[in-house]
Amino acid sequence: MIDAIYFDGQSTRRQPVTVVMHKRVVAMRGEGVKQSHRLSRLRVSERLEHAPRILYLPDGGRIHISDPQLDKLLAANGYREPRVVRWQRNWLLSLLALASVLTLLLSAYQWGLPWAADQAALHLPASLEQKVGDGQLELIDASFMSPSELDPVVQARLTRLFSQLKQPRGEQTAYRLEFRRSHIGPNALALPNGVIVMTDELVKLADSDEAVLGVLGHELGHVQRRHALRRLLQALGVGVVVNLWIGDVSSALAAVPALLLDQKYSRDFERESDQYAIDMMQANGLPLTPMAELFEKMGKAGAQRGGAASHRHDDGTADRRRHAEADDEDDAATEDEKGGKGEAEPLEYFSSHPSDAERIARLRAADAGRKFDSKFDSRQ
Amino acid sequence: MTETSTLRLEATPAAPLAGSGDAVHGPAHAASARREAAATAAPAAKLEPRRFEFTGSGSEYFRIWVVNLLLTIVTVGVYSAWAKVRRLQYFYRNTCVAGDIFDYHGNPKAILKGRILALGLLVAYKIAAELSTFAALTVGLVLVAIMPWLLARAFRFKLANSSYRGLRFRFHGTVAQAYRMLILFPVILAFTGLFAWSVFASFDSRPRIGLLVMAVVALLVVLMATVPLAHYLLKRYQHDNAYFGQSPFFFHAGPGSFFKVYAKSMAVASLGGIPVAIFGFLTGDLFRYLSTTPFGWLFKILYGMASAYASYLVLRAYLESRIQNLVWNHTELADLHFESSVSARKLFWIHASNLALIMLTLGLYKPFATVRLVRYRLASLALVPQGDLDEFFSDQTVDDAGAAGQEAGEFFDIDIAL
Repeated sequence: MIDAIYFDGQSTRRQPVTVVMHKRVVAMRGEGVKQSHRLSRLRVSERLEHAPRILYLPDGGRIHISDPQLDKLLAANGYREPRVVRWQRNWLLSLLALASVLTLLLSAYQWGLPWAADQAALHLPASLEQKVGDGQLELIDASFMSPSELDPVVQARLTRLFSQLKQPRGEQTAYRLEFRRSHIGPNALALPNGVIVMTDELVKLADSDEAVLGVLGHELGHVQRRHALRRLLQALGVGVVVNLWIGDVSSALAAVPALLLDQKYSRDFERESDQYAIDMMQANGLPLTPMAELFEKMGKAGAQRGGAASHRHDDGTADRRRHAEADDEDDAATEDEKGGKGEAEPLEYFSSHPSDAERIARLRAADAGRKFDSKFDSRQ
Repeated sequence: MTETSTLRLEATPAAPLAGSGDAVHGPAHAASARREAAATAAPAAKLEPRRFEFTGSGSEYFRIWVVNLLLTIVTVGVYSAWAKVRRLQYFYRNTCVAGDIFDYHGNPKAILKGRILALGLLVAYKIAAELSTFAALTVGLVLVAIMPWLLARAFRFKLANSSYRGLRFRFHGTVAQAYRMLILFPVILAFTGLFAWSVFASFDSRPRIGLLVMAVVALLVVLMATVPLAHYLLKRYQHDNAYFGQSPFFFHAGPGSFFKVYAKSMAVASLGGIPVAIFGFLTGDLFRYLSTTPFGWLFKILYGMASAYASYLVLRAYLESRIQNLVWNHTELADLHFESSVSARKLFWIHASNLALIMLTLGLYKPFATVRLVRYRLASLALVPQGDLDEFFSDQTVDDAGAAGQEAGEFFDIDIAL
């Protein structure tokens, strides 16, 4: 016999009662209250450590029971706690659940999300990419690019040369080459609508057409693999998960981990595009060393810009601009700004691109043991 | 839904029992017993406040949270509706006042329906935002237009599924009222925003400083005028239309006190700028040094966010505590009233330390943080009974509040605390 409080569901009156449970029948008796019910007809609330349990009667009344003996009585009368409740009450099982959650999240980050974004990118209408890309081009033109001042002959030559190159697997990826003068130094970027923006500064910095073609091949890789749209989708996915995880704290603060997590995807795409450039150049019998040299030069140019402290400051703002954009989510254009990250290698986790050294070594390795007849040495 | 436009000052015990056909047990005699009890208890009015208390523990909630999380992930979010019910039941049933607990009865299936609707709205908005500003604006306007409806539904669902001592709460605010009281704010804001935006847009390359200042000032003035008013209207709508059984809640704060709280929090915010400036001055050199390191950009972002967040936290703690006190000290239920004494300083400390611990544990502290916050907020709330708490009676109308509004409302982050 255990003590309980009965509420009739019609008023807030507290009525002390005693409850007996026997042969799967619950009997309750108090001053002016006498009821009995089959246990199977009652709903039993979940067991909590510090709160009374509630037996819900079919007529809307309920019994609150704080006596810890209730659990034994219920068990003796054939009541089984729901599986989830038993799970929640067991520390070992809950920690196992935690481990599973972490494993699931990590694998989703490593494989699941990229795969899902890839699938989604394949099935989303091209008009979506078109619109997103058009919007980004407008934004870029308005904020940090102006019309190209490059010799139209050079523009035409580069456009023609690149259009004559065979794509690595004979695919016919549609793209459109645009030249722009940039306010942020040598750069090239690919937009979701297939537009490849090449800056005058990059063309001027390059010693040969091969170097520019290599960079264009890299950007075409972004276009071919639909990196911009995929990264947009992946950033969305990361954002949703991070928000679920620490969301109520602050959605503004949740942006930081989301941004950091997004960097890995960016690096993965850069590597993939580098490989695409290598494949494309090799398919056309072109060397990759000029592209590697261009990267080296860009690194040095960055290092030379002004005194050590002030140039780094510049980098900071340029980089910050890039990350601010990534934050805006509307610009997944993968920029190849190699404005120099200073002499020290940045920590990989915080960087949107693989290290220069890694990329250059890879490009040079691609040329090892191959011979080239110089095709475009007649550069003005 | 019943139309209860007239406020009843007394809970009328005359006809509460006409409903549910099962006269087999209890109810018949209960009415007379109750009246006797009321007669004897009324003179012995207990005036000492009865504190609210949260009895749950972080470690217990942690396990519930983890299991909920895993099942939600494994079922691709479908379980989240059940998880929500489990979570709310945990918090309601561990909330205790005058020796008795609250309870939550939300139906997971109804919540799931609401979540799907909310997800649809969110996706529509996200896609529209990607496509063009015009599409985003259109969808945004549609969202603003249906927001009062969503809110009305959300309040209804939440209260109709909450109970204390076996008696349900309910919400009788109508959708029409919601539109009257809640649409003013977004409309005015939207127009001012459009105005400010058009001023900015027309001078995108070389803005004339005077016009810019004007646009910003206009925006600020409108914010200052509408935000407190909108907050007041929302709270009034929420609290003045709530019932416990058949007894109505009354909300008798005026808009003036909301303006006062907001004005004071503005003062707090500007005073808070002084220590921030001193700190910035003292750490200037360190900051300059750190920003020249290779990942200086990251440091700069973190520094900027941290300082912005610190002032936000101060402001939030102040505003939250004062508003909670204001609202609950001006809310009455029949002849009961409430006392709320949340301290801004303690709330700030809880928010700030919770945040730091959540960051340090990569989110694992979150369930403990939630429990800590709820415990403090409930501990600063008390019920002051004038008579007997036994004197509330059920309103037999069945309120089948849908979950749609509730979920959509929460998804768009307008769940209103307490």
